[in-house]
Amino acid sequence: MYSYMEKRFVMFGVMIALLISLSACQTPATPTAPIQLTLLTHDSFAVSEGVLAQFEAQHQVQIRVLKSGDAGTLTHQLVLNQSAPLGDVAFGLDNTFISKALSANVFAPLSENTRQQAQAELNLPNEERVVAVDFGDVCINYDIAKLKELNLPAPQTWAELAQPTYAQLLVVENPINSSPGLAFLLASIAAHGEDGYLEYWQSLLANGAKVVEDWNTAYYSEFTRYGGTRPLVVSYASSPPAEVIFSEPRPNSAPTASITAPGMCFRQVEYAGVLQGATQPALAEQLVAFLLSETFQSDLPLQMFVFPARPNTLLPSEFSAYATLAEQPAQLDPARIANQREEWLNDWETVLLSK
Amino acid sequence: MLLLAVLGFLGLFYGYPLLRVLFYAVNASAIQWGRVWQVVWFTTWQAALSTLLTVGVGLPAAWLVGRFRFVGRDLLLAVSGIPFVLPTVVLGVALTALLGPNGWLSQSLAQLTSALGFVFPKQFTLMGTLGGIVFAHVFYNVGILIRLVGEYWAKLDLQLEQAAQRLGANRWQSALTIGLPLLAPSLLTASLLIFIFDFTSFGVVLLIGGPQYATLEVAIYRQALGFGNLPVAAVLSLFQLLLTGLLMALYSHLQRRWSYSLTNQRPHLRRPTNWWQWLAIVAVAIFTALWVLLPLVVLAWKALNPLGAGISLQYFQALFQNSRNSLFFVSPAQSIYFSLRNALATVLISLALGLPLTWQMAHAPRLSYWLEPLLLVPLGTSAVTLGLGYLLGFGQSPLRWLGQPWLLPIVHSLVAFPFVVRSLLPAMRMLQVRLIQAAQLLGASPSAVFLTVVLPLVGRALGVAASFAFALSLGEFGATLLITRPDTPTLPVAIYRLLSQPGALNVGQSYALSVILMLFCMVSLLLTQGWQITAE
Repeated sequence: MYSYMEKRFVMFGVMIALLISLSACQTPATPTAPIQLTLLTHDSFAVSEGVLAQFEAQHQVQIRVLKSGDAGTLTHQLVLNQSAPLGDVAFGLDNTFISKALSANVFAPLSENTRQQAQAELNLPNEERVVAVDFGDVCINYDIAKLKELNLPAPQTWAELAQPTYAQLLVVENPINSSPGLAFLLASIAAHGEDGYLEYWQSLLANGAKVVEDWNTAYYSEFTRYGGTRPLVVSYASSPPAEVIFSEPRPNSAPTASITAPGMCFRQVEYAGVLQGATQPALAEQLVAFLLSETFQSDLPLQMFVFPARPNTLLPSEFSAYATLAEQPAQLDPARIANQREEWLNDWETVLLSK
Repeated sequence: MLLLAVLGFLGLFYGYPLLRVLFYAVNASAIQWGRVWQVVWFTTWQAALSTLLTVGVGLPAAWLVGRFRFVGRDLLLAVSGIPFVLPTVVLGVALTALLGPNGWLSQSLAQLTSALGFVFPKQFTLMGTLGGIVFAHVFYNVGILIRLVGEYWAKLDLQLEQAAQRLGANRWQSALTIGLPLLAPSLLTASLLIFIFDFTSFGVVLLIGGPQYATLEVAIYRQALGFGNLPVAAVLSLFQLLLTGLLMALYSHLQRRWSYSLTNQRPHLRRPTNWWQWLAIVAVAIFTALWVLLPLVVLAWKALNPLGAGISLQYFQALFQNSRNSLFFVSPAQSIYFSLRNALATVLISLALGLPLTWQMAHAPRLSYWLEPLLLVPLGTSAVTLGLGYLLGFGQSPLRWLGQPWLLPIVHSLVAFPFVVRSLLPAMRMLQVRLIQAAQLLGASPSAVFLTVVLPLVGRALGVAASFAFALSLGEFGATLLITRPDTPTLPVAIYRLLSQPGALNVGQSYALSVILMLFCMVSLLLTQGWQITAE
């Protein structure tokens, strides 16, 4: 009866399908590079043009970069797909997540030679499957001009931070989903112990510290430099040089600085490794070695705002001028973090919700 | 046959990845049910409150759009649609600038109150409060109400009310006893749709509400990615699916029961005739602008002046420079192109699926009875769950599709599909076979039938469906962030990337790019509106 109209719509559908397939064909297929290496990493992965191309030319391969979410999402993805890995190399799991991946047996062993490219103290002790590629310190940053205006020095201890002098001045990120937020919580646990940190957070929250969901909100909504009301924000030791680099015209000094007093910063180390069941294990290890080469390492700071793990890598001038690293960052065993993370977060959330 | 193909498509790209995640619910143990109920209860009542307020704010504008023809009517409709594509990250910044402790509102209130001789609380802010959540929900959804109710209003038969008035009822009596009952179906279904949006709200509650608040969707995200507790997240997803499934069933039941054939009527719009009508129009326009336009204006202002240190166009200019020589640098022109390409592909895919499906549904009532609520369910699905499902389901060798350029428009089509079906189905029901046969008998060629009978009848609905799919794809963020390729970011993803590094240039550029996204959306809405009018 209405078969005529039906045909009409089928035709329409077919036409549209054709159009789609035609437009899909427009993207030219690359004829070269028969071998493909897949690098799994997080959203923040960045690299200068031509750096990866060096490796591609040298080894006649094509690198496919697959980014998925933050370090946490990346870890879940690796663990859940352990039996049939999504790629050959993973880079970007940090010391808060790496143990989870290691105990799920995601990585294959690396050679001693590759692991020796990184500073020994950044590598995990007695662990031959992953190697440190970069690191960064999570510290409280402050708005220099605003503290001057308030006639306040930057707080130098955990106890000072919870005093009425600094009431309503601090903004931190939710540790449940934010990586700097988690790092800050871990630093507080390292400083106050498992028995004392919840009590410390009660006093910090009672002193008017504000918890927001993520780094963007903390930095661009609450921090005084961008129109907020809080001159203290949990961010990175590399944020001050970034403030200089991303300003036009370039200021003579950084408008912000980080508080690197003993035990107040948490050091995040990012690792790389070859995945168990990689299609090209030998080439994959070469790629890991390339991540530790001088070429890649000296490109790291200005692309991802982290510090290179390879010893004696030359830092860009903005980094040596405005970034201070913590001399005594907070220490927590990665295995312990992996085991107790969920419990700590649950307890912390209870304290926050009962505020 | 066709039906099977469409259902197969939905099963593969929606059902399969979802099941991959829901499967984990089997392993769930030790769930804190008290906490779950708390979350369900908060999810429900904040949605109810937000919906009520949205109706209150949107109704005057819907009246305006539904009754009058005036300069700027199209603009009002287009502007109220912009929030739909604005990423929540950016809205959070705009709301702080507007309603934060140092924001416009608290500053002007402080000035006003100090002039009156008392002190306004300096720490006043909507960020991190229930008020902020509700305001943002109104901001996002008021456009839907204006559009759905306004267009329905325009087609109501004026003669009924005029008859009542001639029989002696005054203006208010006729409005209450004739106008309101006639309007009720569209008002209730639009409210229910908005309730569903607020019920599954994610970005607003997460970023503007902050850590103290959680809807089911936010709880799923925190459990799955924060605590790494996939089983509990799967149980919560099942819960949300069940509850929204019930809401969808209610929605399509109400729709069917109350919709009566209005769609073939031409809109009864008139020009304002006297001064009080003009006054009302201006008052309503200003009132609506306060809710919708103000955050957008603040954002544009921030793009010119992010540090409060003076106005400059440098952030717009900087968008076009790859100053860091980064491999993944993508110029805004390119990300506009990626967004556009995606949105067009989304429109094509969802129409290619939606047209034959709704045609069959329109002529098989029993099929439609079961299929309609089922096709709406993707609306209530947790985006986090679906995103995880894609990571799990499409990364491995038989279906190794992650990173394929066509995967993103397919996901966007799934998101848009419920809207497309909803817009097309009523028009398809009107497309009576007799009309086509009559045209054929009168000697019209197949193409003439299509152009002169079919297109005018479904053309308008087609335009609505296409613009919904287009706008949804343009603004979609959650799923896009998880499955997009690094070298082809859409506009919202590019904005988010800029916002995740410190520095004035980054934040200034992200606002500038948001302004571009807003303009882009407004232009495309204006264009589709123009097309709808010519199609009439």
